[in-house]
Amino acid sequence: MKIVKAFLSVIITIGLVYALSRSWGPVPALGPFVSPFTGFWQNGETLRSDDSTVVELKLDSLREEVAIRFDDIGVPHIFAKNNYDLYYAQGYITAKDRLWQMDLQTRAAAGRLSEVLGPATLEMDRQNRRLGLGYGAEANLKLALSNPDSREAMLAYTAGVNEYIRQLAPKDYPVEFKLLGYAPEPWEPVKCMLMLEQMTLTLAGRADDLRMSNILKTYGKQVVDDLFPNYPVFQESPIIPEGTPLDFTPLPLPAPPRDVLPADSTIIVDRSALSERPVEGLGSNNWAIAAEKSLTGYPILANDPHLELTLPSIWYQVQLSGPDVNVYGVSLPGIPSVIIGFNKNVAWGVTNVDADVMDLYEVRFGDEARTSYWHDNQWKPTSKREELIRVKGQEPVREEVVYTHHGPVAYYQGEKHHGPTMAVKWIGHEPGNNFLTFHALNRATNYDDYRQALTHYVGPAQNFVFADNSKNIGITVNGKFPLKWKQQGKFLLDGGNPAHDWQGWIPMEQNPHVRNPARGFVSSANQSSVDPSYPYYINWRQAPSERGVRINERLQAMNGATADSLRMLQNDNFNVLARNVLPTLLRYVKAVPLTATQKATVHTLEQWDYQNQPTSVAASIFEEWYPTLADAIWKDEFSSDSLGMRYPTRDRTLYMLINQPDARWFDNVRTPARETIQDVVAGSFKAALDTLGIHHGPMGPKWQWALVKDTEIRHLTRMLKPFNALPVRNGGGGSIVNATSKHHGPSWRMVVELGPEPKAYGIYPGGQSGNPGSPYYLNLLEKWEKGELNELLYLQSPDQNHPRLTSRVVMKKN
Amino acid sequence: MEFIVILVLAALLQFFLPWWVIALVPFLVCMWLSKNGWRAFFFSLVAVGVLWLGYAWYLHNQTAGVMSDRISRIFFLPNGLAMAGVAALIGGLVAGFAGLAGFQLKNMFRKKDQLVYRR
Repeated sequence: MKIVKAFLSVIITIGLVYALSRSWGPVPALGPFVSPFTGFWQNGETLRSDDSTVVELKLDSLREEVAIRFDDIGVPHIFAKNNYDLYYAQGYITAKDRLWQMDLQTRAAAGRLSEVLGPATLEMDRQNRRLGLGYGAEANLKLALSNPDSREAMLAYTAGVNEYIRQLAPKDYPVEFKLLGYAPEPWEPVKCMLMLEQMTLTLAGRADDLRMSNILKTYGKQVVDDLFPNYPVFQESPIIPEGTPLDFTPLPLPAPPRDVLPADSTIIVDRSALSERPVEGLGSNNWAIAAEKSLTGYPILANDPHLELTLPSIWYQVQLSGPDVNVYGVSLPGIPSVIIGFNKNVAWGVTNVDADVMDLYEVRFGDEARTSYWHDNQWKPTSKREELIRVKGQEPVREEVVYTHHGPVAYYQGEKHHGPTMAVKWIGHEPGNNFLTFHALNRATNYDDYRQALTHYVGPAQNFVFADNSKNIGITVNGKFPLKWKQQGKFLLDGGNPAHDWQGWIPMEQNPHVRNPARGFVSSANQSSVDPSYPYYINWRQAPSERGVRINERLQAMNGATADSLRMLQNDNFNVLARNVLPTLLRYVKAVPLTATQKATVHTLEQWDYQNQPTSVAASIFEEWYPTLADAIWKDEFSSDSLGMRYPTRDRTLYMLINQPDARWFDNVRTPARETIQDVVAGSFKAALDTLGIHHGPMGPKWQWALVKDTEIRHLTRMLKPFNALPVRNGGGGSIVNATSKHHGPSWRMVVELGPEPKAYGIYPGGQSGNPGSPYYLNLLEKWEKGELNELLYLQSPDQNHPRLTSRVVMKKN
Repeated sequence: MEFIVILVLAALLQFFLPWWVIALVPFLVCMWLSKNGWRAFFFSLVAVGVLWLGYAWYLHNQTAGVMSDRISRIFFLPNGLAMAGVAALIGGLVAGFAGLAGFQLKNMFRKKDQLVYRR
């Protein structure tokens, strides 16, 4: 009996300890996780105390002493005596606030999520391996390590991150490591490059080529030329003002080949097989006004990059001060230097360029083993890259990625989709040393430094806006752009035809740019880079024009502007799309019989001032209506379950709604009746009201735009709801200057007044810390939501006194 | 007696050793000190339970619950204090069974009457 009792109690104990020491599916190992000595309890943080607190750190590879001051919102101001120490400290401090984010994002790029998340992410990992993000990162790293400046920065940053990781006991790991049950691994310089690849994928990693090819095959050239023109036909306000003279002699363009499509291609692609259409919301605004438009007598610059809004915040504020630099701005965790910011003399910002820098090539292999492929009338050898994907709780998966001279083969016929086998030619594979651009911008003192800095940049292409305190403003559509024949890459390309290859590059100094234009301002909002008089082909479509149109009309009218005027423009909620099209639409709706409720809605829309204010009901109706209308017009012809297609652009749709009321496309070909524009407009209006009614009840306060839009800022895991922000209630929208949509929006807002001393303001929807248990995790959100900015504390010396400074860290050589 | 010894030893050792010392400590202490199974189970449970509850509560208060309240919602609990209760229960049960196991193992090698006469 005693033996049974003893045996039982021992077994129960061992069983309990075992069960609590391992994870069960998504449930972490509960023992260590709930223990107050090792678990999440240890991750709670408190506010940093007053300025008298000094923390001393003894660090191994430091060269001299580094002083770090923290301000009241948790921004580190780093003062180092050499560049190595500067980037070392940046790596250390960034890891302290954002280690898990750095780990996750570089894992995603490297196709290594399954190592820690299990089979659920295997497909995503496989896709990223096939797209060659690791290949691109390695090519970039080679270049970075061959230049003394970038080499020093990468090695220093890496050493700093690793010094921080080395000091961590398991109880100190960021809470996400504890929840997911893995430990941080050492940082490597290639991860800095992977971060950049991830950004390139987000901003320049989508191709419409197959959808456009399907449309070309289905409807022919005439319809494509009509419905998918290469420049907006309704309205545009290009980034480089119309009429800006060319200051260069262009290179001759490659001759377009006779066959635009691969000769034998049979393109039928299941829609699910391809990366989704670009989301509106991945864009940005930036602008600079010249001295004559400002109250200060110096230029003022503003930038707000729009990305998916996540927590931890995408950006990390930092001030970096060294012997040849004193810069403040936002960095990307994982990359040394400041990406968007200002120094004593200059300020700069970026928005994405919608360039066509990802093209698909149909390829044919010579044998089963894929050792050769057809190109230029001969079989050429492929090269192969063995990818090993480790999967948590499973055998590792081997993936052999085949490379042609175009790039990696990412899609195979018969695999999930019915399209051809295709290689991807992508700017993400082109070796470059982007770091040097930011290194130089951080240290720039004038316009020439800025132009020189940009020559190192490859991609993702950005509109770099610039202003300096010598009263210059400028903007450059910058990146390495392939020299293409017109429309090259609008459709699937023939991987066997050398005429379809990328034929070289647009010379860097011929990238679209303008300095001190007569209109007194420069701006960009991802719209067309240039008007059709620019000699080179960048893309057939860029982001819709509404934000650019609104920004330009307000800047045109602006005089005696201050930082606050530009802040207010960043928060502008005016709906240009509604102004363009709503009067026409309402005319059609009012011509059909309506119920009393529908009439009331029409009245609401007629009273609307076109402002997407948080409380506006009209904004909700319009924002629901327009996409419903686009579906009603195009879905019958340009969407099918078996054939991947896309709708014509919004610009082309507006042109048709306003100028071509009899166009055949208004008819729904899936019904026997012949529908007119009136049927489509009125029908979609009623359908939109029904949808709103289903989701939000009868028209009333619940239809307010902030509630309908329901902006949500989620933790990077997407699934840990308690780590999300509370619901955001603000105005704006996808096509609005205040570009806040459901999951996207201004991830950083900055305004810089240039002058003898710069005065700058900024904010992001989150905080400095990536730790959900820190008071600095979400402390900036409320101000961001209201559209306010913080003054950015630009210190001149490590010992400067300021009431907003809190604790101090001194790093000393061990 | 075992209550104090477990509390102190577990508190100290948890700063250096993995979480499962909360099983090891009551196991050994109860093997050494405990006089019957109920006491072994009960004092072990309460010692570690109080320790975890107290320390969790302290950390919760000190950080205004900013982490513990969030985590409690992942576990469908109302707040960090409830989470501290659940943590204490988990830790306590592990310690309780470990203490019981320690006593029972010792008891296996004892003569039956020894226990009856003492106390």
